[in-house]
Amino acid sequence: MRRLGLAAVAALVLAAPALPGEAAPLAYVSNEWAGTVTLLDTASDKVVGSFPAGGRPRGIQVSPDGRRVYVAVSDPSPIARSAVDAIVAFDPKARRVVARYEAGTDPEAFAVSRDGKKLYISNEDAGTASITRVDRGQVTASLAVGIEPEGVAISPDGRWVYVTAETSSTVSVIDTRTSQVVASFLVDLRPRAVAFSPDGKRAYVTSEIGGTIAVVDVNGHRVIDTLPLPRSKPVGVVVSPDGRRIYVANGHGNTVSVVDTAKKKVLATIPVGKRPWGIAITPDGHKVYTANGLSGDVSVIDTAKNRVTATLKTGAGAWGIAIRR
Amino acid sequence: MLTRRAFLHLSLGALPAALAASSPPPAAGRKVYRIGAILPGASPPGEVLRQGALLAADEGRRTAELIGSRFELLLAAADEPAGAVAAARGQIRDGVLALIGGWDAATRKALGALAAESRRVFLVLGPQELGEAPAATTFSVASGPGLRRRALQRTAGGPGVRCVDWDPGLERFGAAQLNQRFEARYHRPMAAPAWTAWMAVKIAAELTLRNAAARPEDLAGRLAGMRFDGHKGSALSFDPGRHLIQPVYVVGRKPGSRTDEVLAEVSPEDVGGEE
Repeated sequence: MRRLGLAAVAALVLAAPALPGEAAPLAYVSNEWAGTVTLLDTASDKVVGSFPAGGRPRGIQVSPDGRRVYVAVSDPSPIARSAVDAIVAFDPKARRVVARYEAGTDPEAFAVSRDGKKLYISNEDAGTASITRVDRGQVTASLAVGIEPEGVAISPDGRWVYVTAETSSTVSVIDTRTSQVVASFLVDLRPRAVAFSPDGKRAYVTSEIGGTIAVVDVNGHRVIDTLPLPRSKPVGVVVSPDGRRIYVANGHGNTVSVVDTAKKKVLATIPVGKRPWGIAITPDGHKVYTANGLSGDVSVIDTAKNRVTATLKTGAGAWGIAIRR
Repeated sequence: MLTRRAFLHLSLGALPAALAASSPPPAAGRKVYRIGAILPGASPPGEVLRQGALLAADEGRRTAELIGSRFELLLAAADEPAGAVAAARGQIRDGVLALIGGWDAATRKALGALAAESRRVFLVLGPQELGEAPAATTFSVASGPGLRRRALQRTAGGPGVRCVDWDPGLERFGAAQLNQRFEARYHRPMAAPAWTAWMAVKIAAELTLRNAAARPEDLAGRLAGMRFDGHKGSALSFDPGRHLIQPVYVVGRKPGSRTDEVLAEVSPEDVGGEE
């Protein structure tokens, strides 16, 4: 078992070139087998740095103000619990890890509250969602959700946090005002990720074994439609800034599906690297990035052409990817 | 002879205190979905089957509570067909929506006939043999004999090589997490019969929870069109012969090895279907 103390982590300074201009944001990629995070410049589509995160980094998010990048780190042994389990906070400007937060056991995916003060974390082995207050660095609530929770997303208005659960095929809804689970509903088999539309009216839940996307009415927390994605294994999902497209990483299908949200039909299926898992989109909606675990790289998709324009080597087991929105 | 009959109402008190403290309280008047399982009592697989069933029952109960329902497993033990039928009749009187059991051929036949007569789904645990003709509402959770035979034929192996529906060494597709949950709870590896019982109860839970308004006699029709996640990497469903279509695993020892391991994973499409 590896232990990574705060002091040791804080000393892990990036050996990377200077930050690019502020015009285009950086993309941050977690590499679960390499134990690192890779930085990509979304303007040039070049790798501009990396840093060791310790353990097995998977979930990755950027704080709303862009001043922190959070990474969920767990023990490298898939089912072991250890002191490695944490959310690591990285300062992208200083290019160093600045804090570690309690995250419950086996943290996998998480969301950051709109004010940046709380982290909502799925704890896969415990069947819980933890809420960590950033100012205290501690878990302040642990909520029972479905079995094997995974995907976590927060609504644009910050009111609701959706947590998927793989084995129970459920989505649990946390009311951020009360920090309580207020609703749960069934979706298709093995839900992985969830993303909200920019207006907050819809949420989209991928189901890997079901091969579908559930369309959720956020007002009623209920599934109103289920879209099949033929020959797919949907995992990661992201919605375009205008809400008109959903981009779905198809895991073992090695593709990305582009879905028209109004017509509810697949517009394109784009071959990418091997086992795309995490997926992110630039704020202008012009590029989509996928983290490809088995090929250890990132595919860059031009959303106007719906084709891959670049492939960037990152690290073994590329898992999650985050871009400040 | 009926050796033991237990009613399992898996209450909130069975949960770890940390979880129970933050769970929504169970509401009165929740709809109850009840299923029955009749498992061997004295026979060797009885305990393993019961453990697999209980793990899935606990998971079904947790899922039901999340969506505002209750899921209950009535569990009985019987070692011969007459006792199994008597136990099953009692469970039907208690309102079960589906039955699970049939480890041996004689019990399968007796319970299958009762289930067809009472128009209840019957989920079979024991591996059926070539030539068995299941009753109208009988569904086999174990893989079919044709698939197992062809899986063995296409895999080179020496003495002791066998075909199973599950192995505790499986890791992909969430198998490691399921194996870990079972081992953490029972301190033993999840052998194939435990998985079959776990899968049967999981199927019964999903069948009932996802068809809340269906009458018991309509559930067999619903089951034929459903898909399930057995931690095998693909959606599992029943074929027209009512066998669960699923990957199987050829297990044995590699030359020079002292331990068994999975030598090959064989999907039905690899060998041209179930039969």
